[in-house]
Order: sequence, then structure tokens, then C-alpha cells
Amino acid sequence: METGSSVSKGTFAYKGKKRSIDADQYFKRSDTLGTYRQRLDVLQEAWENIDTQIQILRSDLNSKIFDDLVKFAKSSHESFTLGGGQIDSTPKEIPTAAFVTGVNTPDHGVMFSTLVTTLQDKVSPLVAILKSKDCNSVKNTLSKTLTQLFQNPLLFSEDDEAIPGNTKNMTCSMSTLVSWYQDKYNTNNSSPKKRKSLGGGSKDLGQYPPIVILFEDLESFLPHVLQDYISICRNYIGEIPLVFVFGIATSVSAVHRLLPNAVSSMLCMEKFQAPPSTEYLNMVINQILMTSRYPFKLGSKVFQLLLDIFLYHDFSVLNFIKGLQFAMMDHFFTNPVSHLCCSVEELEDRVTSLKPKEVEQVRRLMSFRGFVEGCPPSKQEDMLLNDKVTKLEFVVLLRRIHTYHSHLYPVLKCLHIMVSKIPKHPLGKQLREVYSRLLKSFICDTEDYKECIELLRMTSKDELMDLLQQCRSSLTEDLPPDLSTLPSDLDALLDRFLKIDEVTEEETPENTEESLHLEKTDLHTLRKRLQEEGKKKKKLSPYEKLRNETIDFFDSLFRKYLVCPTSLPLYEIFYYDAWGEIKRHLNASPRSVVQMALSSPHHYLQCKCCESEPGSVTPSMPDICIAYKLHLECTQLINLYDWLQAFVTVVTTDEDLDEEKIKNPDKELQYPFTYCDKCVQMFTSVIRDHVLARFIRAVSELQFLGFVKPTKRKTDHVARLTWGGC
Amino acid sequence: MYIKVLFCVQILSSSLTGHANTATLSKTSTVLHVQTFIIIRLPIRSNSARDMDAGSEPPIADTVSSISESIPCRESQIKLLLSLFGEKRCMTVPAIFAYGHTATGKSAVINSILKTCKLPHVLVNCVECYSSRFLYEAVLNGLYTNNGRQKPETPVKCENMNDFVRLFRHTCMDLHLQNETVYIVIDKAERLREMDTNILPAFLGLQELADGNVCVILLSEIVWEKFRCGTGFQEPFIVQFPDYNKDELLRILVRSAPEGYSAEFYQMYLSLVLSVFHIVCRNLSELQHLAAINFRKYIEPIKNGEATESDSRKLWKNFEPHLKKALQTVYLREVSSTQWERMLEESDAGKMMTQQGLSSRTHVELPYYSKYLLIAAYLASYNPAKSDKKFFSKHSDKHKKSKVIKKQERTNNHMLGPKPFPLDRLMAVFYAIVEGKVAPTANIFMQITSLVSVHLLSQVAGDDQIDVPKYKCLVSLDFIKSVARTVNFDVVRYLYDFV
Repeated sequence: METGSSVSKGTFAYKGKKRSIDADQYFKRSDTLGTYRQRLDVLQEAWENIDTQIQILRSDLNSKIFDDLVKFAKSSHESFTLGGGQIDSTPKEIPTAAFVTGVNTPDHGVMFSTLVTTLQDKVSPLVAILKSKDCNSVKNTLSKTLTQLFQNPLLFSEDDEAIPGNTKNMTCSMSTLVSWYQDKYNTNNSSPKKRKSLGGGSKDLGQYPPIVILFEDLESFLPHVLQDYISICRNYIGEIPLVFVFGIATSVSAVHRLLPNAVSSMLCMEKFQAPPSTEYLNMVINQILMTSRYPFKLGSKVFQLLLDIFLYHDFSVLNFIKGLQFAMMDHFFTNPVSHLCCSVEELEDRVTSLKPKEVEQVRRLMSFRGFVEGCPPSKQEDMLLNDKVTKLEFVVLLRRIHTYHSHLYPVLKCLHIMVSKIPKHPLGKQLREVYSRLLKSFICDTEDYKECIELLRMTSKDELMDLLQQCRSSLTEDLPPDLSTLPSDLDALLDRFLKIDEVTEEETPENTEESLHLEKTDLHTLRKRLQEEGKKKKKLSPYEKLRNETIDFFDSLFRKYLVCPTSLPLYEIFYYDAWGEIKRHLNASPRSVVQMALSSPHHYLQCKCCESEPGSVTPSMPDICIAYKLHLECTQLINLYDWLQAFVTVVTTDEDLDEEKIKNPDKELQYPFTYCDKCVQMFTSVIRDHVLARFIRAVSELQFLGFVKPTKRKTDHVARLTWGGC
Repeated sequence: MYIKVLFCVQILSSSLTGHANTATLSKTSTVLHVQTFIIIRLPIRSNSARDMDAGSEPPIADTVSSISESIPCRESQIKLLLSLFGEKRCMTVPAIFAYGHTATGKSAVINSILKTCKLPHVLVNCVECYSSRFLYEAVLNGLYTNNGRQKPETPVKCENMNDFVRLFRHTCMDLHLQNETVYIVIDKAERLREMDTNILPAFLGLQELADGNVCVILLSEIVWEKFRCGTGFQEPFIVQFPDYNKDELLRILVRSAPEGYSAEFYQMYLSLVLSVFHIVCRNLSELQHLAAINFRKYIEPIKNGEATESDSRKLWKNFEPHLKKALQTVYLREVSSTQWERMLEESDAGKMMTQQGLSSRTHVELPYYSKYLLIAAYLASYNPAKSDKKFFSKHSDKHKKSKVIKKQERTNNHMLGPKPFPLDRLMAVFYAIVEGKVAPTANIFMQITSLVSVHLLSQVAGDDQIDVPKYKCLVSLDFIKSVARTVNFDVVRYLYDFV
């Protein structure tokens, strides 16, 4: 601490020791049942599984576009030879891949780092990645390129002595790179032994591996830097094989915004479009959330919130996954019996090892209470008192949820296929929308579902058969025993549809139309008869019959399996639905929190004295709140003196009169109690100074929070920075 | 010949007066009286030199014809330059300034002259020299490498002009170049103006500063008048490279005829291409690119056996609609030739393809609120702040206001470009147009930043970046219209210019 004492007044920052939190210590505080260890283990295992799955998905998704890019980079300099540039008189263009990545910028970092490793593996060890924040001048850009190329660990994996250690002393110009490249690959040419040693990182890369330069965020580059850099590179394209990859977030026209024709004509661009991030999201939802493999599930509100953040705010799958991870963490942290959220195999062991306290905790779950109330009275007692019986019941119930999951997803996919062609998509266009509805309530009771079934009863034969085919092909994965007959059922239905034409022919004669007897009747009777005629059920054609049968089949299938998860007992163990918590952490609104604190401080201070109807100002509030509330009544410019007067009025009215206040001067100044004339004068001046100081402090605090700022437009005024009144 | 001698004498005398000056290189004004003399002398000399060439010296005529074989349509420039250069040992003009548009053969002509005549020279591109040190070192090191000598063990280091002149003289001695003219070719010479102020005057007067036979050739795309930003210049000899006309373009392009096709046939093709593109594009390299990527389409009927080479009418009919399409993407270079071919094949299958390709050029997928934020930013940029009340408050007296506005002659805001607006106004407009209730969460503000990072908005520099940040909207009306269409928002109805 000695170093901290100094003559000058200043703030000193100390780099504290890095403290790592001890898991035991941290969790014990909020743990009442002592299950945190198990929960932590379950969480870590579950997250590891999900994370590896996500990695696989990511590489699958980008594999195609990466393959294309790799092919492009490889083929662009196939015929390159050293010194070939001089022979060719016409200046060449730099092969450039315009890689349109989409606006989900948070995801790009991961994407580009995978791209770099892919390129290094498959094309060339010479890959440099440039980010706009490092490239504010041509010099920086060049030095960044050169250091990345020269200090590439892949190149010097073995006994190579030629590590140009000090890149600082070297001149940062392209000619340095050229001579380095020529040195490197010419010597390889002459001594095959050495070349072999180099081959460690780069197999079959040809004699002259291209130098790939990636621009991660092209839009943010300074145009003149980029232009100069490209023209420099163009001057050397004959001597070293350069390939550019432009990462473009918006559209290819961004290139033309940045580069004039003189420069863009030096490029030979080819466009590559990365798959949209919604596709990736769909994959994540389908493979992570909508599968019985991972027991952890998101509840309807949290799911909807995460989706909303994705669709309305950033299109970033990375953020979605972060949200999912947070939800998992919070679930296992707050729910003391969440270690039961495990796979079926471990379920029984875990339940039997439950301690009495934990059993009690499970009994308190709302869904279980509802379930017990539904049981016959004799059983109810056992359930509540006998731990053994209850545990058995737990196993049954938890197993039921697992089987429910295994049934749910194949059937849900069928439902999505069936309703996907219906105009206006009452149940939603995407599978995730249907799923979100299912999480919310029993889907078969909704109006939209009924509408869909009605519309399905009117589909044509071709469409219906097409839908059936799709359903059939979606049921490929391992089906649970209950559903194992479903594909064959569908096949049978399809078969019958195919054969229906034959049936129709047989039955047509029966469909004789009753011709209307044209008798002489009055208008009234005719109308009545026609109405009756209409009411009479039209005889159904065989196709219609079969169609109804099919739809009924599906309807009963859906009704059986597409139950809302919240109706199942003990669903809380698997489903996380703390919407408020997630919202607070992932979609915070700092501004409204500050405004809330200022307009109703009792919400945070939990004090009685400040409780009042919104809009009123009481002197017991903190000064900054009073100042804030007063400034709300003002227009764009606030006269400081008027503001002070209002502040003084609010603050002093009670203070002078109220004896109570003076008796507990918790935050007030203790002023003298003698009441001679002189003292009164002194007393008021002290008060005034004191209040003035408080006012000034409140105003500067408001300025700090960004509500007002000093202005030069008018003396003794401050400008308001927010709009809107109370 | 005597003029040349006189000229040399003059140079020598000028370098004598200039000796005092070599120490303080930033000012060369003391030798101004000599420069004026040179300026007067130059035209006389060059004229007579040309006369001479035409008459008596066959070797020059040979070189002219051999160079102009590879670079056609530039005979007069080649002749002029060759006569200026004269023989190796003769003194040459101290500086030549060659200018002309892109792809008019400036560098090609000079490079090939220097190479065919085997003159000692060095080529420097100013774009690479982001500091003057690089320029000096590039010239000095280039002298070694370009002339077939072994590179010096340690590359030459040179910090300033004074050192440069000294080292230059030293290098010339080293390479035994005292009796030859050394040529320094500086490409993109307009960049020299942005470097230290003494560089351009010093290079122009290098001959007398270095006291040797050196000629500095400046290449640029802009005229010499734009270089006169200081004092103390020695005027260079100016050579203009004019644009090629249509016939010349044809002559040059025809040289790159692909194998297997007669020159007449290719010329026919080129004249078709030029007839379409010459209106919009006269850049030789761009035309070369266009001719190369479209040729395959032209010969397609021949390959299929539907037409012969002489069937020009049929070929044209097949080719014309395709060229019209290609006209839309001139200068863009967004597709490489292989991709262009692939696109063509697809467009044959479904004719919609190219149209789609064009509109997808500018199409950007955005998150929902980002779209509204962008629309709000556009409205705030192009509507005057006064009109916000009219558009966005629910109870406004529309009739009164519109009358008042109509009386005034108002300028179209779209002509003036986007105006900056404070963050508050953006948020106010945003909340007025967005559907449903949106909490002002951190995510909303983050989106403004990410819109700035993809350059759909830009932050305007102001005195108060934290409290009142100001922005501008950078997108076009068409773009915002297409964005608004996706959220069913009629943006035109809210624009002040279209009411």
C-alpha cells in the first residue's frame, strides 16, 4: 500500500491479482440441498455434448462454400512459374474472391478463423488475414501482411534456419516479400531434400503455393489504403502468386463504393455467397433443441425470446448459442433438482439416490402438485409421505417425458410438412414456429390448427399425395416402438390413393343425380326444397372419403403425441423458462433501468418514504431524482436558476418545518438550533449554500448519466438530451 | 548536332551555379535564370532533332518500327522520345513528363524503348513509396538490380535528398555509367506532390544536382499544370499520349485474336463489340476484357454447327441481346470470365437469371429492427427536422402546412444529399414508424453501431461524440425502397420531397 500514498491527488489503478473462483465456494452459497456438484457435472457434460455437435454443424454448413473457395484459390495460379511475369507483356489481374458473408458480423470471426485453417491445410501455408482495425495506413497493412507470412509456424516446423526473426528492422515493402518468396521457392527447386522438409505443413501444394490474403471486413477499410494496397500488389502479380479474399458483409456493390474503376479493373472477381445465417440457426434448432438426444429444453417464452433476438436484432447464431448456453447454466444453477435432467440410462440411479430433502424439493414442483391432486386419494398420501413410492413414481414420470420427446419430434415434423403448403401459413412457415406454438399450448386446440385441418380436407389428390410422400421420407431416423408402424401406415395410405382411380370407376354409376322434378310450384316452396337439397349431405366420392380418413388419421396422431410439454408432470426438470432472467441478461435495456431508478427510487431502495404515485416529487427522494423529475417538465433548454429555485422549493419546504427531519439528520447537515436573528440569517445562508451544493452535485450526476449537457447557445442554461415527459 | 553541344555547355554552367545549392536542396530558385534558358531552348532542340532523325539516322528508324510493331498507333510518341534520348553518351533533357489517360500506352512505350535500346534505367512506382525514404532507396537499389549487377551485400540506406544525390553519383561511378544517360522512370508521379516539398523540384533538376547525365521521366494521368504547387521548378519536356480513336482501338484489339480464327473474322467481331460499347467505354484494357469474355458467346453457333464464319448476320442476331445485357455490367468486373460463362449457361436455362443477378447485386438481408432503423435514418437524413411533426405526430393539421410549403420554392433534398441528424431524432422517428412496442434495449443501440460498421450509416464527426452523436444515412432511394417493401412500409409517403 505504500506506493499508493502520494503527495499529488490522483487516482491510481492497481492491477489486482487474478482471482479464480473456486467452484465449491461459489456454489455453496446458493446451494441449499448440496447437489451442486452433481448439477455442475451434468451441466458440463451436457454442454460438452452440445458444443461438439454445434462444431460439427458449423463445419458441415460451411464445408461447401469453403470447398469452392479452396478450389478457387488453388486453381487461380495453376500455371504460375517464377519469372513468368516478365515474359507476359499484358499485366495480369489479381484473382479475387468476393465472399459475401451476410450482416451477422459477430459470427464472422469464427468463420474466418476456420477459413484460414482450411486454406492453410488445403491450399497453401502462406495465408494472411487483415482486419480493418489494424490497417489504417498502407505501411501498417503491409507490415501486417509480411509479419503474418514470415512468422508462419507451419513453414518453420522443422530445422529451417531462415526465420527472419526481426521483422521490425526489415523494410516493409512488397519487394521484400517477392525476394523472400523467390529465395524460398527457388532453393526448393534446386535441392529436393530441402523441399521435402518443407512439405511438412503443405502436401501436394504444387511447387509454388499461392499467397492468400483475406480481408475480413472490407467495408471498414479506408478506401485510399485499400486502393494503394491493391495497386501495389498488382505491380507484383507477375512475380508472386497472390490471391485475395474479400469478406463483404453487405453486397458486392460495396467493392465499387470503395474502389474506383482504375483499381477494380486490376481485380478479377468471382462471387461466393455464404449460406444465410437463418439456415445455420435452423440446423442448430433442429439438431440441438428438437431432438431427444439432449434432455435439456427451452421453454416457450425463452425460446421465443432467443428467436426474437436473432430475427429482430442481429442474425447472429453465435449469440443464439451463447443465449442457449446461458439458459443451461442458469437452469442448472437455480434449479436444485436439475441433476435429474439426464439421459434415460442414468435416470433410475439418480432417482434412487435422491436424498429425502431433494425428494421434498421435487414434490414442491407445481406440475407434480397438480399431478398428485389428480390421483385417487389413497395414492395421494403415499405420494406425499412415502419416499419409496414417490421415487418409483418419479422414474415413471420422467421416463414418460423422455418417451414423449422421442415421439414428439418425428410427429411434429409431419405436422410441419402437412401445414407447410397451406396458404398464409396459419401455423407458421418454419418448423421452429410450429415448435414454438407447441411449447406454448396444446396445439390441437388452437383455432389455427383447426383451420389448417379444415383446409387440408380440401386439398387435391396430387398435393395430398405429395405431402404424404414427404412425411414418409422424413421418417427415416430411428423411430420409437410406438411409431414404428407409422411409415407402413403411410405407405398403405399412399397405396390406396394410387389405386383410387380403379375404385372410382366402379362406383360412379351409383352417383346418379337426382334430377329436380320441375313441377309447378311457387317461389317459396322451390327455395325451401333447394335448401333441403343443399343440406342433404352430398354423397362423397371415394377420393373424398379416403381423404377424410387420412386427415382423421393424422389428426388423431397429432392429438395423441403433440401434447404441450407444460401439461406433463415434472416438466420443470427439463424445461427452462425463466424469461425475465434471460431478458435481463441478454436483452438488457440500460436506459429504462436508469429512468426507472430516477423516477421511482423506492423500486430499488425498497424504502417506504419515497413511495408515491408516479409523477409527484417528494423531498425525501434522493437529490438526483428530484432534479431529474424537475427537469422532465422543462423544454429543450433548461434555465439553471429556475431549476435551482424549483429544487430549493421542493427540498426546503419540509425541512424547515418538520421537526422529525431534524431529529434524525441521517443525510442532512446538522445546523445550529439557536434562534436569534443573527443566527437565523446565518442559518439560512448555510442552508442555501448547502442546498446549492446538493443541487450542483445532482446536476453533474445527471450530466454524467447523459440527461443534460452544458450548452453555449444561452448563458446559464443546460440542454436536455432526452425527449419525452414524465 | 551543335545544338546538343551548346546544350551540354549550358547544363555544365548551370550546374556550376547550382553547386552551392546542392547543400540546401530545398530551394532551387537560385538557378531559375538557367531554367528559363532551357525552356526556351528545348522546343528548338527537339524540332531539329526530329528533322535529323527523319533524314539521316537509319538505326533510330529501325528501333521505331520494331517498337511500334509491339505497340501500334504510338509511332509519333516513340519517334519523339527516341530523338530526345539521342545516343547513349549524349546529354538528354533533364526531365520528361509523359501524360495521358489510363491504357494509352505510356509505360508500355517507355519501358519497351528502354529495354530494346538497353539503356540503363530504373522504374519506380510512387504508390509503393509511402515515405520518401522508400523512393530514394528504390531508385538506388533498382539501379543495381536493373542493370544486371550483383546486388550490394547490404541494401542501400538513404534518408534524405542530400544523401540521395550523393549516393546516386556514387552509384553511377560504381556501375561505370558516367558516360551513359541514366533514366529514372517515376510512375504515378502525381503522388510526388503529396510527399516532401523538395522532392519534385529536386527530381526535375536532378541532372544539375547530381552533375551527371541523368533523365527523369515522370508518368502521370493528369496534366502538368496541376503539378505547379510550389516554386523553383525546372519545366520538364511534356509529351502527351492522346486517347486512341475507334480505328486505333480496333487495330490494337485485333492483335489479340484467338488462335484458330482468321483476323478478318475477329475484326468483324470486334467492330460489333465496339459498336455497342464504344459509347460508354473507351478504356482499352476494359474493352480487351469485354472482348475476351464475350467471344465465346459469339462463336457459339459456329461451334454448334448452326452457322459458319461468314454468316455474320446470323451470328449478330444471336449475339446482340447478349451484348445488351453485358452492357449493364460494364466496368463492374464482378464476375470472372469462368463465372460469366457459367452464368450464361444458367441464363439460357432460365432467362430470369441475369435480371436477378443484377438486383441481387445490391440486395442485403437485414434483421427486422435494423430495417426500421435504416428507414428511420433515411427519413431523418432527407427530411427537414421541421417536417417531422407533420409526418409523425398523430394530430397534425396537414392542410395548413402543405399550403405553406407549396408557396415556397424548395430545393429537392435528394439533390443535396443526406444531412446529419442526432441520435435522438433517429430514435424518435424509429419509434414513430416501428410496429408494436419496442423496448429501448442495448441491442437496438448495438444495431446502429453495426449499421455504421457495414457503412449503411456513417457517424459524422462533431464536437460531442458521446452525448450527441450524429449520423448520416448512406444508402440510395432505391435501396431504401426495397428494404421498406420487405416490411410493408410505404417510405415514399413519408418523404418530404415526394409529398
